[in-house]
Amino acid sequence: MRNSTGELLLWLGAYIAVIAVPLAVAAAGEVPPGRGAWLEFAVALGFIGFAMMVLQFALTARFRWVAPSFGLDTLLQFHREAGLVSFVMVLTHPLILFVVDPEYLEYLNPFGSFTFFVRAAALWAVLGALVLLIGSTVWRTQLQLRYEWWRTSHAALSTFVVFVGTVHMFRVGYYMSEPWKQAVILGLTAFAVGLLGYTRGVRPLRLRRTPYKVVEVVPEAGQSWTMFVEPDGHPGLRFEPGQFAWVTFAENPYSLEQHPFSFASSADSGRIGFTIKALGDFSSRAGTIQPGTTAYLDGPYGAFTLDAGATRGAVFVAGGVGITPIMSILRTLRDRSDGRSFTLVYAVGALDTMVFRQELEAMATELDLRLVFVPRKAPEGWAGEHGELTREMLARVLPDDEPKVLRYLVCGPPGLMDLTETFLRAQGIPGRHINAERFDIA
Amino acid sequence: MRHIHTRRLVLATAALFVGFAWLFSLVRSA
Repeated sequence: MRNSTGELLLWLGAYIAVIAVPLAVAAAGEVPPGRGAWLEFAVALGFIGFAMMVLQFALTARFRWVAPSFGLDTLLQFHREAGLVSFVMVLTHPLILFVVDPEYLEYLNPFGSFTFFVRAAALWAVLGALVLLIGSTVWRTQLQLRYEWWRTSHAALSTFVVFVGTVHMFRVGYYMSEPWKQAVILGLTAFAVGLLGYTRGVRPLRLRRTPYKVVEVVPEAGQSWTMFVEPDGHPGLRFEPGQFAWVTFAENPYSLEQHPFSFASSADSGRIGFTIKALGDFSSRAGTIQPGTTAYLDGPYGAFTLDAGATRGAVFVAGGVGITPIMSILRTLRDRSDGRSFTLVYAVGALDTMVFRQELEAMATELDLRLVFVPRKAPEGWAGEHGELTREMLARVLPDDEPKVLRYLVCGPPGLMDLTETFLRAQGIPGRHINAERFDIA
Repeated sequence: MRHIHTRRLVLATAALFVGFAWLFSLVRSA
């Protein structure tokens, strides 16, 4: 269950407060004379952009005590969008300066002296790094960048940007004359670098103590595979059905090829299953993983779970591979002989390539589970719903008996999620009863 | 927190930060 608005506001308040730190530091203590409104505005944007970039490291540090309040998918989405905003702020900073006082263009001129050269080289380099950082992220798929390469360069480029930003503030030095001010800025930089070291260095080291072994790879319908793993010499992690883990299939926990996968198996089962559909560069190779391969699981994460308030039952809306976390929830409910009523609306490409069809049909005889399969193309003789999911279709198939007390869990492509959420809100379903998770988070 | 609200949240915080910058500029150039 995603937590209260109060908790969310608290974290948001902390985020805003930290971003205001460099500005507050600049305005406090001994301050030099002001230099005109536009110039000071540009300087302030630079400070804010820097602080936002520092906090980008915190948003992806996967702290389990922060993520449950939002869901890691929301945090990562926030990270993406805040990254773009900080990019705009940092770029606007010099642009305003150049307009206000063209003499600032001298900063970009490498000729004249060695200091000029270093300064101009650093600023040009940081501009290049920023463009690469944003470009490689926004167009990663179009550029066909391998995930692990992107992940490595993303860390390296962002560290470089924060480093140059720090040096830049110290070199300009207008607001940084007092040692305590320098200490605060250095503290922020150290915080960012420390977080990166923690996520990329310390966490994999800890994972090494809890390896898993792939015990079985089961081909599923529609170019999907289920990998079953078992803990190797430790009790294994406990998860809530609906959660996910970052999984590395390699001997080395530092392997950069780490991907988020939903647990597909029942939370009560001794072995953990992940169902992986051939979508990206890694998932297409998933079928080649052999039993006996070592795996490392960083998790559990995610807030896509059935909350305690779901006393009357729940409605699941899944699209494609978005079924996996819901499958884990249903399997767990089955293992616990749950008596509540459930409805599953499952949008698929075609019936013969959909995963878990037989198991779902079997489950419908054990649980109070109504199945609504929605194939995009209806096979001959199919009397059920078909085509793209629409509001009218949802209105027909969703339960109309006290819909406002039910819980709604939605997982699938963004289009399906937006449609379903908008529809549910229009029906007067309280937002706290709707839980949606993107699966394309990385 | 539903995903469709993330963008609005980011834009709202961005607007707030521009406000901070404006305030800073106001204080510093007064």
